[in-house]
Amino acid sequence: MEEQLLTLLQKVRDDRDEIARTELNELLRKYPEARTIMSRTLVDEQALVSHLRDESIVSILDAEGEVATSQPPTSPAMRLLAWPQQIAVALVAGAIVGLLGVGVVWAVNSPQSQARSLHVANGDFETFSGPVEIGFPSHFGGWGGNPAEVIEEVDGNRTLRLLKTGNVNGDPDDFASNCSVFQLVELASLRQQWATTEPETQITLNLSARFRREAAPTDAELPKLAGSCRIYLFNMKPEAISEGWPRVVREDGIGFGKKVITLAPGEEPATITASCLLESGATVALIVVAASTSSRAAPIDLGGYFVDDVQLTAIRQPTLPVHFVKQSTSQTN
Amino acid sequence: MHPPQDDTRFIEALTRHQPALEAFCHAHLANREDAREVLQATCVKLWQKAADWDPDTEFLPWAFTVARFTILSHYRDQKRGRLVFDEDVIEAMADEIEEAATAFDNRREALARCMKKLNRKQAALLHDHYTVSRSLREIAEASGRSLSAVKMTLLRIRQQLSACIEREMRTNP
Repeated sequence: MEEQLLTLLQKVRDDRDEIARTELNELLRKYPEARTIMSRTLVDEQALVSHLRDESIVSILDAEGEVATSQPPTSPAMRLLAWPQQIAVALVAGAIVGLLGVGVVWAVNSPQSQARSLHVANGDFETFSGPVEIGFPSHFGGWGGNPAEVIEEVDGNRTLRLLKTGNVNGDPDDFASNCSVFQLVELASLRQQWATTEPETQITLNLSARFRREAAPTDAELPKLAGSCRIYLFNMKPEAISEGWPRVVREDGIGFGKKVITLAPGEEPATITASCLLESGATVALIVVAASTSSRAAPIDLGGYFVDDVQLTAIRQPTLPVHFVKQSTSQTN
Repeated sequence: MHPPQDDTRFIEALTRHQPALEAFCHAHLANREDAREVLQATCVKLWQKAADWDPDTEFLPWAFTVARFTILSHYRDQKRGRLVFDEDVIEAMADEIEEAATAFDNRREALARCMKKLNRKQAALLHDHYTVSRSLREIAEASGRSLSAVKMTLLRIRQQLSACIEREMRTNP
């Protein structure tokens, strides 16, 4: 009944559908259960609006650095105030301004990190559905790799499904241990926006993705199936990286980060993040999401391995008083 | 003229319970703009009637009574095309709405826990629709998806949240 009520409510409000309005009111007249559901639904809708509103205000304050010295609120921090709340708020405004003033001075004078999202083409898989191009990509702005496809789920969400392990030669009978999907991301625009040569700052790239595994007929053959995110950094043209893969990693790679997760079939989805320091000469980031079997065998169907919400973020922060003597890999398993 | 002490307690009570009052108005009207308009009018009336409230009694039942009259007055001033519920249906739902709105704080806390279980895309859709007030059609056009797919996604998220809130209310009442 809940679905029927929500659908009718949506039609009445969005489409001004009179037939739906009549049907909705009839249901509410006839069934006490419908009245209970509708009352809770609308109260919860207001709770949702209120929650999102508070979150939004808190995030603005966070961005301004004005809450740098305070703990995150555990209850609604601010609301859009209506009279006569404004009267009450005005009474304490002077004192609050004084306290915030201290916080602002602290924030301005203290080193702060900055985050910037880098464009990952179809990173949320919403702008394209269908098979992913087979083979290593040779240009920016698209996914390519082993057999995979973007599918639309029942709830309308689109997600990447890793279908089958493959190998770089594209030979269907050759050994294959993983299904990897790649994208080349150019870093020039980041360099234009941030002066990466500043001696007192360092930039970290974070690649995050959400992994989900559903039960599949081949699960028994895949006891060690693991998901991973990887970043490789190069100072090369995309075509050269494509031609030299995978040897190019060992010979020309200048940065690397990796994060692995092992999910049992049906386990809760999880988001993982791989990180690496952005080397000053890096012009291209190669990002990879993959499912690996840990054994080299003939290509095998993965069944239910999904990846979604791929994001690449650059974090700039003041250099810590630490001397790096070897390239960081940030590898965690 | 009210004693200052009572004024302070009234303002405290109104400030604390205003979200529940807004939910009460919204549940009757199912329209956010109307609910905010009625909330403003209710706050003015509550202020005018502040002397009628006994600070030793609960604030919300009294405030709901005042709000109910304001809602019905607003309802009768509106054209039918703008209204979701018929007047007799609003009256039939009165007890259920009051019960749900009284538990607003608990339901909101439950919802906050449930929101953490949503993925980023689900949260972004809710933000775009309910905070930025983008229509589902605008969201569909921007994302390259069909309107019906976006509607279905929103419906599923709402169902997921409802089920989660009820579970939370049973386990952490």
